[in-house]
Amino acid sequence: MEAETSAPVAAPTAGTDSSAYVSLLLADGRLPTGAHTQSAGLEPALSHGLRLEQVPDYLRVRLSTVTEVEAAAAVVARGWWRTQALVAAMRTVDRAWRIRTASAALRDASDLLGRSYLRLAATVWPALAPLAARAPSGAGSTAPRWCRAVVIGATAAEVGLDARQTARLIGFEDVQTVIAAAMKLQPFDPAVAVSWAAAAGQQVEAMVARVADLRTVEEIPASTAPQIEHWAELHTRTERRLFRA
Amino acid sequence: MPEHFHPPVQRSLRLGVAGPVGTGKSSLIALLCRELGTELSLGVITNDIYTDEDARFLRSAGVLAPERIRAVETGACPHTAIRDDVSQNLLAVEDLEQDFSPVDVVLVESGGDNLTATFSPALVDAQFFVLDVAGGGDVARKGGPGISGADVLIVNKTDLAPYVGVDVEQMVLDASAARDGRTVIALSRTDPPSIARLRQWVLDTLAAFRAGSLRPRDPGPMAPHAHADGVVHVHADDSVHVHADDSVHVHGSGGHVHQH
Repeated sequence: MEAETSAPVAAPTAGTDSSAYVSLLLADGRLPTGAHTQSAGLEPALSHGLRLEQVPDYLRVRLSTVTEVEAAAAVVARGWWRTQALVAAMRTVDRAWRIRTASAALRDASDLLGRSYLRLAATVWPALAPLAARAPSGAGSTAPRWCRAVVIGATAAEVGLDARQTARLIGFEDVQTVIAAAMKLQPFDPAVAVSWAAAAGQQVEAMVARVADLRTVEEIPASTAPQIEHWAELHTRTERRLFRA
Repeated sequence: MPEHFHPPVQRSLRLGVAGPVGTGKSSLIALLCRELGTELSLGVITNDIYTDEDARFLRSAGVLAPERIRAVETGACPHTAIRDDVSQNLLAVEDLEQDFSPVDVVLVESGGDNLTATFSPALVDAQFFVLDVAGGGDVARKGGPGISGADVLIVNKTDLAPYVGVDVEQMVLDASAARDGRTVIALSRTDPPSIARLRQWVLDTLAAFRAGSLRPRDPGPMAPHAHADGVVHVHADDSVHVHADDSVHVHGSGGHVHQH
């Protein structure tokens, strides 16, 4: 990004709480973090037999498994962001998410999204820079890997989102990723798509309620969706795909 | 200096290759790899509509180590991936720079499906736009942001001109007129002087990049156009200014957008 235009730095203004506004900004699909390359597993699901009309069920399963785990990790990361040894704390949360995510394909997809998210967020909110710092020596000259949950949790803490806003952001992002991908893969009446997204709101809020009070990594649920993980693995080996994952 | 000090990874010159399907973008990249691969450290990123079709073509061409050729998925948004959200391409470029350090040039191929896709200057330092004679002699005259504003316009497959009834000289003249003097290269794999010109352009651009004098320019979302008063505006700078009639103009290199 050596273009002559340097990114303006967002500075919080005393006395105004813009967290609700920023949560909309972060939830917007136009946020340049590469979300358009993701289908949240829907592309392999559809190519392995899921029918379009089952997309609401697919959302429900995700919101009580992989997405809940991600939201829980983000909530814990948010809560720990202000601790002193913050990089070590974030690493603990990252590891907790990682050992709950059996599929390497899902971990890779999250790492890539975490990188692009952090690349953007650390430019806009420089206090996130410690997460982006490369190890100074040894074999660790590559940029550190962070799952998206940790990056979003840290960003949420930095911009002042509360735990519920943080979990909702993860849930909303997942729903919209699936539905936008469905519209690309098997176009149908967009009003139906939006009605599915609206209906998923109840499940998102139920998920938010389940994870909002979590404080420790031990409390992060370990519910998985083996079928989704299997499809994710198959997707990495296909030669024809529109979406990265 | 610490024992395990790692020098910063060299930032490569990033060159975009855009243009309609079938005009020879992948072949151009294969040609550049063949011509420059021994003296320069190269990398290639492809942006296929369907995953790694172009990457596989390039790997099978055998002109560059297969691991230096990577595909980026675009989620059916090939324009977005090279223009308004370049994040996935930037990560892929930086991975190549890291994994094969030092890398001199990374070529980024668009998953172009029409005449309007061009690269953001946030992703590439300079860009080619590729047309071919088989697409018809009038394509260059019709214009478009890539044709008029890309750093180099390639008129490809000139050896086919006699078979498709195209006057290459006229096509190049039309293109040059639409481009305000920017480089046009009439190219054929069977025409060594044209290949030498292409090769030299890359080397000159790399030298300018290293000297710090290369300034990435946006070809713009639209081609230059005539105003109601009949005056065609082409601005070389990226200036934004307000005219006396209160219209706000944003000027890319040759591109011209305004909101009244």
